[in-house]
Amino acid sequence: MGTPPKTAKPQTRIVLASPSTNAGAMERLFLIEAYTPAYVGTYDASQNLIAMRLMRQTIENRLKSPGQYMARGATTEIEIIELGNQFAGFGTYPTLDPGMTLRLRDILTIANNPKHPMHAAFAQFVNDAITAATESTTPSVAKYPNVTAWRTKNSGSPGPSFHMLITLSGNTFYSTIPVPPMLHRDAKHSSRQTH
Amino acid sequence: MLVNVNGRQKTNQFCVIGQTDDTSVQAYVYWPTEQKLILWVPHLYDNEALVTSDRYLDLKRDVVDGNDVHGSTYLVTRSFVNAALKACQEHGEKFTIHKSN
Repeated sequence: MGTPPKTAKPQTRIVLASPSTNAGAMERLFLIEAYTPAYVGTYDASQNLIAMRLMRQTIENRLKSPGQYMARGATTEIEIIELGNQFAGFGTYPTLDPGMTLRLRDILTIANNPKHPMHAAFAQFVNDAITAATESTTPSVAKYPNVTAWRTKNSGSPGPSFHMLITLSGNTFYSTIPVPPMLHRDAKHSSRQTH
Repeated sequence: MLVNVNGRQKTNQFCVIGQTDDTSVQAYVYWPTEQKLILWVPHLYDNEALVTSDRYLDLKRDVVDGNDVHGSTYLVTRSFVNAALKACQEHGEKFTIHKSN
């Protein structure tokens, strides 16, 4: 009797949620907006999940006041993502720009190819996106619960009403500066009025 | 690859200007032939890095006047673009690529 042939451990294929679901839209957005492990010198594996959770928190915070973020009337995460030219390549979602489609395809191909030298890193990258998009505890795990925007590092601010929070794995995150309450400037009742 | 995939003209002008800070290096690729400004970040599979850049800006569509992009992750202000193009003109590397397909 010879030695039994070795059997390869079956790999679980990583699959994103349907594009028509909120989770599926967010998974795709996070994968495209975050720097992948192939971005040497920019990607930081220890920061990636934190950065993706901040992206999730950004979407959830915008959903609380969508009109403030060019998505008036939005009631779902998908609508926050596709309205108002806020996220590159997602204006006609679920159809993505060709470059974004290629980027996403490449990410998933490597994540599901055990022979690729960066397979493990990309699998973790995709799993981070799935975790950030599907976990229900985001508000308590996001490092900055008031985050409302992000920009590629060194590419300018999202606007004068935003305040910089932190840069993680190539993206800089911002919160919205609260609008101060209107002060009453009624001259009739001004304490500085002279008689 | 960029010119062959997305180029429409046979002859394509480019200007590249690098940026660096304490922790990272990146560059903007100005493609006047197609009116594009593309962010390049060092990437292991570099032949695709420009085609799949998530900051592939169309200068006829993705630029706003004033100083407010209203929370957009990717739109840029005209002053940002003007500064990038000025830096490119003064310090960038300019070259021509011919479409081969």
